[in-house]
Amino acid sequence: MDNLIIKRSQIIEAQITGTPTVGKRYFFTDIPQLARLNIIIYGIEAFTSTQLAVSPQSGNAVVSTSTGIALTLRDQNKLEFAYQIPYYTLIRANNSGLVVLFTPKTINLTDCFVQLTSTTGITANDVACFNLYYDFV
Amino acid sequence: MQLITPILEDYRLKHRLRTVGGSYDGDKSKVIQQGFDQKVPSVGLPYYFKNDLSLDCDKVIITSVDILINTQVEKVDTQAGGNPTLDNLALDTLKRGYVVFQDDQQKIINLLPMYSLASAGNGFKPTNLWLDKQIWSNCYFIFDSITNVNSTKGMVFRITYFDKLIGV
Repeated sequence: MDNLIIKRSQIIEAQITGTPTVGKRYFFTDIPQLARLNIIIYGIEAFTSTQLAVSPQSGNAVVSTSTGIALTLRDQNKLEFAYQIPYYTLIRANNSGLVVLFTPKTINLTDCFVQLTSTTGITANDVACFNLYYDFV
Repeated sequence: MQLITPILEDYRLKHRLRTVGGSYDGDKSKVIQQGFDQKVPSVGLPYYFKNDLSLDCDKVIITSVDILINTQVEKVDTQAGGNPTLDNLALDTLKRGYVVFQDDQQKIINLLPMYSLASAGNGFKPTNLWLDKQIWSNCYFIFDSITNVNSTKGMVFRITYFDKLIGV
């Protein structure tokens, strides 16, 4: 069995602004350094308030539920290489401690978003919070 | 399987992936016990690790940091051979903290939630790291709430690492 090695990491977040709405796209706050072409993303981990109470980026509360959120990631060519991954499956504790790996990708963070498939347990202005694992190439 | 195997092999060569069975990796291991009896962490203020040259990047590569919780190590002993009296933190308390690893220019290498570093909360699989730029005394942890963090408490970090071979 293989597990990811963390070389470098960056916390990212998408805020559920306004009244939580099913299907609405909530885009990520920009982290300019992740758009550099010498960076490749190779792993991701999601958090709920069980693992992380407050986002270190914004100080906003992290979502308390994971079953009603889906993540879509786009690369520099706006290709949706990961479409509507269930948030629950990106939480390490739900995968016996294993971190989800990608093939090496460059991403355009501001094109990436989360969508709600259910608003149960989601509060306005909570954030969907992730740790992206990356490396220099 | 044939399609992804070359990527996994490439990841292994570049230290992005490691085969694990829930075990630690590294030649050496060190436990760092941090008591809060002398100084209680403040909300939002970095709590720097004590200087430890044996954990700096010119000597070692750190391959994992595991925060041991109170169900694994009940008491924290901040004096070697002393009388451990401080209580270790519970897993739930770790959701309010982060650990930050920095290099010699105090640039952040990693900012990791404490919970991510606790194997007890992650299927008892230690978090794999590849830290080869760190200066240990520039690394710190920080809390956004100190509920259940007080002068009767402490923390236990288990570090695994291996020596860098000089000249290689």
